[in-house]
Amino acid sequence: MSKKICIIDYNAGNIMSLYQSITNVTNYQVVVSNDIADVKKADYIILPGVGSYSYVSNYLSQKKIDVALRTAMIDAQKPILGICLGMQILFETSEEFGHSNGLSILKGNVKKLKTNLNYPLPNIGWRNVDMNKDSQFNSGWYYFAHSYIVEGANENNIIGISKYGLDFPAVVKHHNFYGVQFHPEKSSKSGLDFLTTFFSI
Amino acid sequence: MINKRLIPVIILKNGLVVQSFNFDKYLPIGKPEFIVRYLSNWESDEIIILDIDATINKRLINIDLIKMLSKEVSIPLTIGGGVDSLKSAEIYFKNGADKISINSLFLDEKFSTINSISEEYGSQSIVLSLDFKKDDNNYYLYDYRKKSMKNLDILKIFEIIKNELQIGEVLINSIDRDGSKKGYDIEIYKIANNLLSHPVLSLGGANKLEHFIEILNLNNVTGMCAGNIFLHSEHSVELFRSKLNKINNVLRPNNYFSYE
Repeated sequence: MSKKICIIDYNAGNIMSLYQSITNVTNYQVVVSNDIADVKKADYIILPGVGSYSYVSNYLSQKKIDVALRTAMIDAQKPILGICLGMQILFETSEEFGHSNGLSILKGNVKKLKTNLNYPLPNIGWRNVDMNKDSQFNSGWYYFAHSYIVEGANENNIIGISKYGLDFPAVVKHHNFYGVQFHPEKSSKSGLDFLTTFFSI
Repeated sequence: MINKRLIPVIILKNGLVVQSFNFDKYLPIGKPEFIVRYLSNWESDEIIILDIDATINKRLINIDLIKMLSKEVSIPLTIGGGVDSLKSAEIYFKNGADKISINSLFLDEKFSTINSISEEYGSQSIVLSLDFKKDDNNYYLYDYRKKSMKNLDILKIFEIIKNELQIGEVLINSIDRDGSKKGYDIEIYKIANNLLSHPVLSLGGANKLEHFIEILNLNNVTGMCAGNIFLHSEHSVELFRSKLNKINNVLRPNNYFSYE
């Protein structure tokens, strides 16, 4: 039977290109859903990078998807990928629009990028990502669009680093949870390669 | 140096891609779907699509077109034209826009509407697009709908951006240079580079390699946009990428092409 991928729908923003990129790189069945049953049935779960931190965080707990994600961490080894905000939400807190709580699946907090004036914000564009040698992903150029980064993450969880005035985590991993600060679905060939690798886990 | 981007800007009028001259004359080129496809294959860093009669005709851009384009390309798409509310922005985002370009909402000073879009979708999803015309050694905001200048000069506008707006990037278009082949109006981008803390996108007049080189050292100008030159010459974006990277590795490297 074909494997199932669930893109979690927060009802905010553009997930069409993510859906399209995934269907381009796999033959798996892809559903876009906020139904807890779909989340539980899926072999892969994707948290897209759209919306704002507190909105998404509240939405996930309202739909009890947060509980399902924690269960997935303990019970199953199903790979989960958070993209941009979808990665940040896996951490403890964020200072975007005040203070909001995340899912606390990974240790660390989301803070505004503190660069000097030579680095206009948001950080928008293609940046080089250096992956750890033992990571299955390829170093290369990926598309970023963000003003916030993860700080205080466990060093062992950081498997890829990028730079914008300062080094920041671009790819994180904790058990079956993966997170990327960039947008693989917007990163042309390198992004599609990244997704192909992820769906072979 | 921050890595720069090469960004083709596609102007739509009556559903067709047009070549623009000083915001005054337009020549039709062809269908957007073909042009977007080859610009994507030539490794553009992003693509901006502006429908210049959407607002005037009080309609949205063709939604089916946006849907189709977003399925075909895996680079960021910015869509502009007809965004007059949070609701219309939502329609664009839901149908495949990664960013929206805003112009009329700024001309009409509806700053709170702009900020409400930002709060819902994030500031990185808004490109503020401003058209400037030079007069008496100063730059003034131009209202393309009324074909007239607004009594707002560049310094006042940058104050508003700094103090009142939550936006991602600022696209600055020089009307005097539009379609002129004379290169970017460096003066205006120097002012933007000094006063804005946002990424700035340059548009208007770029036609050859020197024009891109001239603007490279302006730190905050991280996106170099062009219409005509990127749309009309074969492998344009890829060729410029190759040549610019030979001088200084300021762009992401070529993936598919190699021009030796």
